[in-house]
Amino acid sequence: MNAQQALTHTRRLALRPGSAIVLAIGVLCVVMAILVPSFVTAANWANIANEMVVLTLIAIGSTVVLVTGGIDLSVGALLGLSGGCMAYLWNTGFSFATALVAGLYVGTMLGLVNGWIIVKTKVPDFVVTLGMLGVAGGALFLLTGGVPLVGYATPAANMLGGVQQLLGRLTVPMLIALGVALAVAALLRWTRTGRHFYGVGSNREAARLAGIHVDRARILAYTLSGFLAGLAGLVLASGLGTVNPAMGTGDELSAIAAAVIGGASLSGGRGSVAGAIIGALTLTVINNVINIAQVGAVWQQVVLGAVLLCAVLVEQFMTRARQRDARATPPVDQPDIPKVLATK
Amino acid sequence: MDDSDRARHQGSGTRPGLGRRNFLQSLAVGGVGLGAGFVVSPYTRREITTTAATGTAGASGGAGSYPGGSAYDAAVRKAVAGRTLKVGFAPPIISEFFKQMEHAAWWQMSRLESQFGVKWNWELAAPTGNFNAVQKQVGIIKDWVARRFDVVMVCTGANFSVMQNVYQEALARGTAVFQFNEPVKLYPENQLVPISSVGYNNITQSGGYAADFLAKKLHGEGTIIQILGPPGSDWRKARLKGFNQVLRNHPRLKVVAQGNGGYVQDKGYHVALDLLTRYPDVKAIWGENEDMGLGAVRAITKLGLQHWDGHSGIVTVAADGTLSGTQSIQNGGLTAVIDVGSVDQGITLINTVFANVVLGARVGKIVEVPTRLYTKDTVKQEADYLTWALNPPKTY
Repeated sequence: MNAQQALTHTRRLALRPGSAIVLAIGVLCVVMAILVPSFVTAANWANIANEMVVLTLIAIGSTVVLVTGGIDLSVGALLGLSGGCMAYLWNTGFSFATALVAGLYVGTMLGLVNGWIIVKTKVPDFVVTLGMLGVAGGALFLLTGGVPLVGYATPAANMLGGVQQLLGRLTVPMLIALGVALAVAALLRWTRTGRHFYGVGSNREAARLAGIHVDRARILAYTLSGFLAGLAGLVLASGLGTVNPAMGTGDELSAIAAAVIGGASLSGGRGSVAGAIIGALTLTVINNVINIAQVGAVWQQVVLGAVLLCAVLVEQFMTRARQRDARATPPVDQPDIPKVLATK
Repeated sequence: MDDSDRARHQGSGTRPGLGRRNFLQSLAVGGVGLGAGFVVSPYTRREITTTAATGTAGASGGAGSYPGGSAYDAAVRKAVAGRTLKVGFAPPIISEFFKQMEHAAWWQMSRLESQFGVKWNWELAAPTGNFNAVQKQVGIIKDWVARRFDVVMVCTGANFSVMQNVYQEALARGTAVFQFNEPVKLYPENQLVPISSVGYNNITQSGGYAADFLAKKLHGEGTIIQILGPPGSDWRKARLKGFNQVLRNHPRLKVVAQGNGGYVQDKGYHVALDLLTRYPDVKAIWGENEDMGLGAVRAITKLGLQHWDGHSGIVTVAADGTLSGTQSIQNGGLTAVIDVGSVDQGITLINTVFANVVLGARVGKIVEVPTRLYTKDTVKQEADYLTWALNPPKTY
């Protein structure tokens, strides 16, 4: 590889979606390692890995929905309700397995309902999912009666919630997140369904004309988002050992923020699992840094907002550079729509 | 019978079924006939300061129903004339703490109903899950005022001056406004618009109390992590002020880190995880509220650190006083909890409303209930008290 090729390769790498964020996080980590040595300890990174699991799961779900051109504002409430159902059933004498399945079922079914209402009634996504946020959030209040559900912190729950380690610093939530990330990445990259998601998000009408079952793809995306919110709810509820009536409130915004930081487009057709993980890692590391560097309470929100704003602005700058490159040179990689068409 | 006579009667005895604790508590809250600001708390067996004792003229009563004898009962019953009070109860969120308070209020409402025939039309409304949903809460209050409620009882995370304007408008339209659980000591009393503010002194009775406990437990030496509510919160300001005031007398007690736990357990858990990873040798954690304290307990367990066992480990103290907190103490999690009087506030609130709105008595601008710290040794008493409060004879 000569110097010119190396430069081109480096430039391409730098312009890949999410690379700016990764770079920013890298710089932040180096600075933190110098300022606060405990930041680079294995124990701290195990904390970060555990803390980001819930956000990663719902960010992946939100990414899938964003890829199809939708938006899911109900993930926080579905997370809370699923965790609440699990805790409630567990407390009322059902088996661990039954409680888990029921929790997942609730999240998945409500995600399915979201998708079904959106495609059948043509009501905008954000209105339907906002309504579901209210319904699921209210249902959790009814289920709990306004009082936290407690008393289910058994060894099994501690294991599922990552309170107890599986091996070394490895926990079950880490494995769950890894498994989900690989599965959804494979779904998006190597399956027809995944390509349909991108096609529907890029241009819904073109996808329809290409023979893609648009409604089915959209319902599937919301169902997957609901399933992942449910899974996140089980992990969070198990980890905390309690389900607060307001559990999950506001988490939908973090999920969408993580997805967008990771390169998902709010107008659809773009996003990846790797991006969602990068977004979740970014938010978690920033929170961790704020805590252990003892950034003053008043400054915390300012720092968090400023770092996110800078990261997204740099990403936007990189996107424009990519577009300029794409216009200047023939496309190296075909966009997804032609691939979709090619498979039909 | 004028107000002072009535006040004397109210402070002169107890009712069947009311324990000595409740009667003493009514004295502590109402201060009737005592004149001074000190009584012996039935909970802690130590002197506590009660601002209310000098300010409420006894009208707020206390944990018991109104004493006074059958002739007095008949007279009050005649004055009440079967009146129905439309009451709105607006906590900042629906939580275990406020649920305890609501149930305790129901206890007292049912007592007053059976004793004097006053009827209650009760509504609860709160924004869900967000302490800062101020607009929603203002909307709730305005709605109740428009519907001509007799009384609205409010606890809010909203800005002080904003809410005073809302209360002013409500009072002008004939709705009596009472506050509860607010850190009103941060503001001049003459700027408080509500008829009365039932609560406790967040500075001395919560933050200062926690610091006193830690200083005693750690023998005046050690490191502390503070898990606090969001910046800008009045509760945070007041409790932190009290905590730091006490800490000044213990120069070898050091606060090594401070985190924002947002008053919720999962955030408290994650902040505590981060801080305990950096400071694993810390001696104590102060959770400004109980949810954050419970999150810290979970973090200690997660990191394999040792909870306080009476001799060594991390001391964790938090404030609120919920049944979940008592369970954590029983299970060896939280070391101590300061009960800031959810039950006592609920009962006192209803007595204050009854005295003022129904009987026309003048009540104090600030009415404070006792707060008490309990540990593993005394937790059963606390759990029994809360369990009792959560089972009123009638719900509204």
